Amino acid sequence: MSEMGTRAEVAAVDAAFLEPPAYPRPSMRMLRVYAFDPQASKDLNTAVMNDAVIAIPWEEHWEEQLKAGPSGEYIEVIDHDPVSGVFYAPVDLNHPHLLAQNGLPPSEGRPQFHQQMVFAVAMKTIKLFERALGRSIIWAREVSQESDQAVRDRGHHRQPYYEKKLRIHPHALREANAYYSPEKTALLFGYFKPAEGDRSGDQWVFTCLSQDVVAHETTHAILHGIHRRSIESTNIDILAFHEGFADIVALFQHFTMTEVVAHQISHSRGSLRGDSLLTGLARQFGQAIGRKGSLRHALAIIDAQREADAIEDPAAHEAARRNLPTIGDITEPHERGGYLVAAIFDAFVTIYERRTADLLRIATGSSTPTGAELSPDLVRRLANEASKASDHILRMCVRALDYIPPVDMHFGEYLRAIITADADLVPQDPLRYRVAVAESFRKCGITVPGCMSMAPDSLMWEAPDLAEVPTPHVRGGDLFSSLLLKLYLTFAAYKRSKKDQGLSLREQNLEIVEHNEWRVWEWLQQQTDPRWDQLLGIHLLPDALVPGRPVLKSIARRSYKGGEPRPVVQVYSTRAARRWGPDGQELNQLVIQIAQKRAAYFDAEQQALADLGEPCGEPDFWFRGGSTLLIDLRDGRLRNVIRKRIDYAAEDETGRLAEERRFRMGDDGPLAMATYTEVKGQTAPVREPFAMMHRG
Amino acid sequence: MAEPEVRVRMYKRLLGDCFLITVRQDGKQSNLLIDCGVLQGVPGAKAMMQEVARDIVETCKDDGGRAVLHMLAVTHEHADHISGFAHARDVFIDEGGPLEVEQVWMAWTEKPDDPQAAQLRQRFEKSKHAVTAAAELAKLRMGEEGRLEELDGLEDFVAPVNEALAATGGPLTGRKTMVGLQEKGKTVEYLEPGEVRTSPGPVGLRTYVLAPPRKPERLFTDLPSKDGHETYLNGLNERADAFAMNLGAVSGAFSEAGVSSPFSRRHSALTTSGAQQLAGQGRRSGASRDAARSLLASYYHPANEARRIDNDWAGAAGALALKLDSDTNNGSLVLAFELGDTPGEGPVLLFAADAQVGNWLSWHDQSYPENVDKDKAGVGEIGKVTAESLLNRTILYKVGHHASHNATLREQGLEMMTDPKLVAMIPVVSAVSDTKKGWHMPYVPLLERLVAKTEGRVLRGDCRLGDGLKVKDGKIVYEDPLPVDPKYEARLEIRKAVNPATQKEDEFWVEYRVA
Repeated sequence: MSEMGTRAEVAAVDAAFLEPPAYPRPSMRMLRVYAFDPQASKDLNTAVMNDAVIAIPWEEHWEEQLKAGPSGEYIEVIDHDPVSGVFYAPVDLNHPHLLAQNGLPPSEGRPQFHQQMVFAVAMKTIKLFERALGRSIIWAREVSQESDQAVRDRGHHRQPYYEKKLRIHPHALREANAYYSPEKTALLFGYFKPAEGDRSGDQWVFTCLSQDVVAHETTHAILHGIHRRSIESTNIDILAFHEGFADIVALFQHFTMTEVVAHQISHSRGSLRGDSLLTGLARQFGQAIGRKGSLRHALAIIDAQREADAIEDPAAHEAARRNLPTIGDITEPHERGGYLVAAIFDAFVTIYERRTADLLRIATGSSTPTGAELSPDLVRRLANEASKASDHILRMCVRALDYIPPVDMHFGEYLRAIITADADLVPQDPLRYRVAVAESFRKCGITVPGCMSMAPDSLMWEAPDLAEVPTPHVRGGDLFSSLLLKLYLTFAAYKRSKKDQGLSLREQNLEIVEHNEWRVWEWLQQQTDPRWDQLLGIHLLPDALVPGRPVLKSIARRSYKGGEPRPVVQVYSTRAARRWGPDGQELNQLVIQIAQKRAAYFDAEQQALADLGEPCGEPDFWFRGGSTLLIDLRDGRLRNVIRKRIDYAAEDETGRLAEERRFRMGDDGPLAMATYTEVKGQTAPVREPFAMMHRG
Repeated sequence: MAEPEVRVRMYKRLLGDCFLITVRQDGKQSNLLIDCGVLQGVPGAKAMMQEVARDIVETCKDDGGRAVLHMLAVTHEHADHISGFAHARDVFIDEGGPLEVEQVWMAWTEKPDDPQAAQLRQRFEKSKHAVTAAAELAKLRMGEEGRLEELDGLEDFVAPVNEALAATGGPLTGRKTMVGLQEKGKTVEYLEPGEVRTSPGPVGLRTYVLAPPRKPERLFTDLPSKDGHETYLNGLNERADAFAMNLGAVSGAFSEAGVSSPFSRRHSALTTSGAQQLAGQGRRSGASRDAARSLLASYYHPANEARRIDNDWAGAAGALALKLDSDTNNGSLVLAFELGDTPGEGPVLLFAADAQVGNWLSWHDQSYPENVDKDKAGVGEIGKVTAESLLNRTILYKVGHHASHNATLREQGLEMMTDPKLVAMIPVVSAVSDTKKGWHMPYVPLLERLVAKTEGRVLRGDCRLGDGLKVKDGKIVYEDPLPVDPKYEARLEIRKAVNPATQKEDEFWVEYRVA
């Protein structure tokens, strides 16, 4: 028999008994959602797979911990229902009851489940982007002058141009609509009564319970965070790209749910074509507003082409082909975006078909689906291939966002971005993904002006011409070597210069981004080599340093630290991206967006006067130019520069300025009432650009 | 027989239209009135309009003291064109009043048994119902003071939003005013585009009816011409219906029960006002429920005010309201009076009401007269006169929609007015329209062009002769009048009177002797 030791020893044993060594932190937080929307749960065929679970990474210790709302590092869900005049109590996902059952079970009648679902789907979308981009997502804030002034008048600082948290309001509207608000950095979801003739028996349809709608709106917000000017409609493709891209992300999210994919592939006997749950978007929403099927179908355009091609009689075939709408006829953003969706989705299906042809041959003796029922093993293998292919394509699409110009992009340029970004990271392309993408774009009628052909090789952005690259500052160094020294490229460098303020890592990252933007701007102000103007496509240097350059007084001038006045330049974004290719290739890049604005007028003569510096009053709109620079982080070498020139002459009718002017005025003959029918105030961004598209 | 003397009088001080045309020949006189209204919510509106009505009665009196309006034209149902009839209902509407109205002229859109007109009215009512529901709900949520920025434009133009106010004795709604006028007139004429008529009264003027068009793609400017109009009409009706239905507003009645939450009561315990109180407490206390409260605190933090979503739901009503407003403007009755004996040759007085793009374009869709009863027309050759020729000969232009940015067509409108004698009249009060409302009336580039085309002969409702016509650095300059051509001035008569709104004497009306 032995005595217990000293009192201290007793206390230690006691503590060890009461507090076991720390439990392992869960890596994932599981949350239940509808795989599609509540309607799919009411159909026997689809009910089995409609209960899905989304796994999102558990908060890291350097992130803000998740609280009631849910409110965490990226998102705060505030459930205000202004029409009903109430706030719904926020869900606490850390409640033991909810932790033990993967959150609330799906329920239309419980607003807390709605909060959980919008949170889960939005987080899943965010993580998808972060993985593909190799950096964290930040939210942009579109600040109107008016509201900025109001904030200052109350003694607060200026409004931030970034927000830490995106707000989500699951019950903000009572209409068949949901939108991203750039001014509020918020997603607003509506709910509504289905139209007459809807037989679902639903009392209300909640847009926040459709995974597609939530993913779509979240993508708008992410895209705006990456490209500040992506919401300014300067050509026919801008808003269409926003819509199309958001649809693409929503569609490909279907393929992350392997259960669902297997179920559908089994149902379709191995084919991914045709309007199914996988290829359609927002089915319940579509039917509630009186459509036959889903709100939008990914392959509608390609299907119509195939249908026409299937006609044997040559004359009838010709006629059917001629009657197909082409992208040239379509201006409504969702519809036009449909062409982008069709191109990407068709490329995906083609790749899926190529990847699975061998499996089908082994199992059925035919490389295309025969219509016979497939074995569950084969279905599982096919589903895996579909998920893999969709992941690849989606990541190609997301990575391309770093390879597009900062302003005024066209669909064709996005294709070039996809091809270049992919070739940079994955030099070998054994499965010919790039060919498939280019081919599908061609099928959808999306052209690339200025390119030799639609072969991937010609589509790549050209590498910068050495003759037009300025001489680097540092002898033996590369063009941007001296810039890299001035930036915070690691947290260690940033930490050394800062006191710990209890900020999360992502908030510190925001500070780093703002710091780096400022440093890039400063560094550019010091440049004197006239070739910089040529390289960046904007006017960077003081007029005296570039003798041959036309002086555009329509670009504002300002002097920095008492120096000579220089044309005003803005740095929109400076982000380091670290990416890994499928074979372990690493790509570390600095992505810088530089832009400049020039006062623009609808009247060419007035423009000429403004360029000469005559006072012309408020401009009719701001014309923007600029470039995206891709810099190798290892040595500061310039890999790519993607430009939109600012200085096309006003009288040049083929120039970008003339084109944008035509776009803004509308080229509708007599309706172009020109100078006295356009309100000058229109230079301000349209309020709620995404809401109006739905409301007409 | 002497040439008739024609005078056009513009009542000033009004952000609204009221034009009296008098035609005299050989001791006979015809009195023609086009519209009588002022924007809603302008202080002293009623007193001002009653004074206008009294003045009209005085002017219309014949030697026997009998006041007759031979023609009363009502261009469209917007308060700034018709509220005067309601403000002075004892003169214009009530029986036994001091004024007789021979003929009321309205557009075909007001014709009771016209199917297309009925369809338009239904569409109008549905939109208005939806918008009314939004306005009412805003009051419910924000208290009686509750006003939706989104609906500002509409409430000002469309007479009282709340139908209940229009009970007997109360103010007349726009619709009731229109019906009242139809009953007051001894006859009511509904005009079709392309008609050519002779204005009523002892001395007639040849009158061309330019608009409103029958073609839907003209009536609704933003209608893509390749789509059928039916789908469009239904689309808008459905949108309006759905909006009202989702708010729980059934057939105009709007109850608290109609806007309860879709969730059961236990989820709806925290009202918006309760949340506001909690938000205040959340910041002070360190209670355990902080997480939930800090959400509210974040929502109601003053720095986040611009991020609130309290009124975004009304945005759809705003879109409907805007459409409703511009469609009504586009339905304006547009008249051109031609002087002289020979059709297609004499000078023209053009009254464009508030016509917008589609309306203007439609003038050129026909020649005049078009498919009408020849006897009634009283014009020799069918289809001889074109809109272009009318515009070419225009010597008086009543500027559309208080000279806003979207109600004067350029190439097929103002630029076709090439007569060197052109005079423009703008019924506007920029202190209200521009300063207070921010509507850009008059729209500066248009004003500049008008001044150039008329060589300075622009009459504004809110300025002394020659003033408010110069532009410097994109802004209109006041208190620095342009010099006035004496020959033109000799044709003007200006009447001053004490303004009942300000109790100060100012210009009451200006009259231009056209011929």
